[in-house]
Amino acid sequence: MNDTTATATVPAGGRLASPLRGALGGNGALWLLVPPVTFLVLLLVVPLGFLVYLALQDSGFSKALGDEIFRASIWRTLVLAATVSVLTLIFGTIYAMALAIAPKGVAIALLIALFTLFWTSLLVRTYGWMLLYLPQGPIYSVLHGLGLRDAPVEVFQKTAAAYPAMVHVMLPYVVLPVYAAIRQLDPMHLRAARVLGAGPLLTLRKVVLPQLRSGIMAGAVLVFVMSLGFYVTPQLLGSPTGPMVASLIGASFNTPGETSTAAAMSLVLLAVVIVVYVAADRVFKVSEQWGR
Amino acid sequence: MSVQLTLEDVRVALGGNEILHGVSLDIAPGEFLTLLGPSGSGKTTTLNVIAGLVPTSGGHVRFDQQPVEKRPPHDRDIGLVFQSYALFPHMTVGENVAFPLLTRKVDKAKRRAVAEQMLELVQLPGTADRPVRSLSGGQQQRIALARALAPSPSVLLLDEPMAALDKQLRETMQIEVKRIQQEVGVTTVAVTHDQTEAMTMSDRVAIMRDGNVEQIDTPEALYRRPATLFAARFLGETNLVAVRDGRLAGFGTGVGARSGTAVLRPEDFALGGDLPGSAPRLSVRVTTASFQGTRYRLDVVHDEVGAMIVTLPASTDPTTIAPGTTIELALNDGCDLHVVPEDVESEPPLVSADLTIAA
Repeated sequence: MNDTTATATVPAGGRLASPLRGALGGNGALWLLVPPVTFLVLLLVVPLGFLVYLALQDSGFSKALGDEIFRASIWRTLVLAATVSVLTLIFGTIYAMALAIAPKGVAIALLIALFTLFWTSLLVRTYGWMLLYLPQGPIYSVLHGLGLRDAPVEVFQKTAAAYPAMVHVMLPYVVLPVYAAIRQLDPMHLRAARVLGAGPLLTLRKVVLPQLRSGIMAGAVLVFVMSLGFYVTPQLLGSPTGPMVASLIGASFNTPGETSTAAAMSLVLLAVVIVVYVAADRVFKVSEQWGR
Repeated sequence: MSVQLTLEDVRVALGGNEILHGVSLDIAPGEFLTLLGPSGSGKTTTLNVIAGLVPTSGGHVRFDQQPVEKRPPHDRDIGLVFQSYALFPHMTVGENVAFPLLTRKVDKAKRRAVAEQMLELVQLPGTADRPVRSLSGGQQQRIALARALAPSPSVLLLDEPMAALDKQLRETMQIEVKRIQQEVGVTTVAVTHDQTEAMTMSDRVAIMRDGNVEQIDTPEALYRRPATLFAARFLGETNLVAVRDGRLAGFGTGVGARSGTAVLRPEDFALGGDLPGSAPRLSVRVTTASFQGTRYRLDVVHDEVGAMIVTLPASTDPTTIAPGTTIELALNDGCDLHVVPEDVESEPPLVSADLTIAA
């Protein structure tokens, strides 16, 4: 399905682009490229170059890679990102399916809930979770009210505390591409599966999910890559003694004399993100999904 | 594996409208029946009722006397070829064909063997590992047929099976479908609005109209002895000539019936000079004459009868039938006139739009 949409959109774009190019004076219209290129050079290439320059002062790379705390935080961050992606993938897919099959009223409510999530400031949402996690906060009240617990809950600023909040934050990035993929399913395939003898579960497993695979993977990879560099939520909710890479980089930049180490750490994180993305793209053809 | 399929006064109501008004069909084991009719006649609904995709509001569907109308589609043991084929794009050809076996919990080795055998049957051996997308329309249709037949279903259903194919391929596939159906011997119901397709493939054809079965018979009988004007107009080209007071309008000959409409096919005519003087005849003016390889096709006009379509043998001298000339036409088989007991005027001519799409 993805292949056909991809091949269908390419010539359409081509037809659209060429008259536009002609109207603007053929290849003489290259000046149109000036704003985006300037933007990229000033805001991406220059800072990156500066970061490389910083990292090369005071042997930043060897300090960063030799730092046991940094290596531990890289591992911790990879585990967080992977777990969050898998959880978000599962909940997001279920949410998208609920969205697709719910009666209209419920579907609208679900969509509103999702977009409220999307549009609420990250900081506000994180503070919401902080309130929830307070030792005598709502979680405690509910458990206490049910007679299940007397001692205060101690989840705030534990590594695990970041997980539910992260999944919550990332949910829309899986729900939206999966929902788009569900809308593209051919209803005849479902009919065919029924007539050919498949019950609902087999239809889901063999006909529906395989066709949603690229949508699900596109969302999960996006969540993974974003989680690797996530700062606010783990910083505020997670354990202060077990920081994520982003927090560690932030802390190092604020420590006098550690600037080159912090720069090197940033570049290592960037390298990890690129490696993960390229590998995922090879396996799951993610960019195809986003490119349409 | 071939069952007797019976529909007994089947009614379907959707959104308060009854769209099938008591359809009854009795299909013998191994028979190929085609439901033929214009759009909105209820033929696809009837097919979906057999498949279990549309709930009935009355009547019974029986496979070998067993009522199945309460059974869901996946519990009816049917094979269905969809108009769009609905092949699963993420599976290989072999996985598609083996899918109904997977749902019936057949083990992997057996699935593979049956898939190979089915691909052999539809003359696409060795394609099992290819992606579905790499196949042409005609090949996809064969795969859809193989997939429908793989579990040896009790009933094979074909929903406008040729609609997505171009004309030439369509004719080849009609014969191919017929061959495969006879080889497998499965009870088959097809839906089409293409009369040629219906006549080529079927043992019997049921002409449907407005949620009822108008007439059901062999293609020959439907063509030669249509029960109604609708059936006469729907199947093949026809000239409808009024019968009044026991006489055939224009010809003046006596016929068996007092009143009604005689159904005269274009090939029922010959030039007057070629037949003995006793044959019923009339004089007409030629409007157009076109040579069609195996025959001449003439549009002619008669003052009383109106416009008619006539075909004459290809050996006819073209100068004698040039447009504008008046010719004498005689009936080949004057005594065996088929008369429908309906008045020509009682029913407006069929809107042919639906048929031209199919052609």
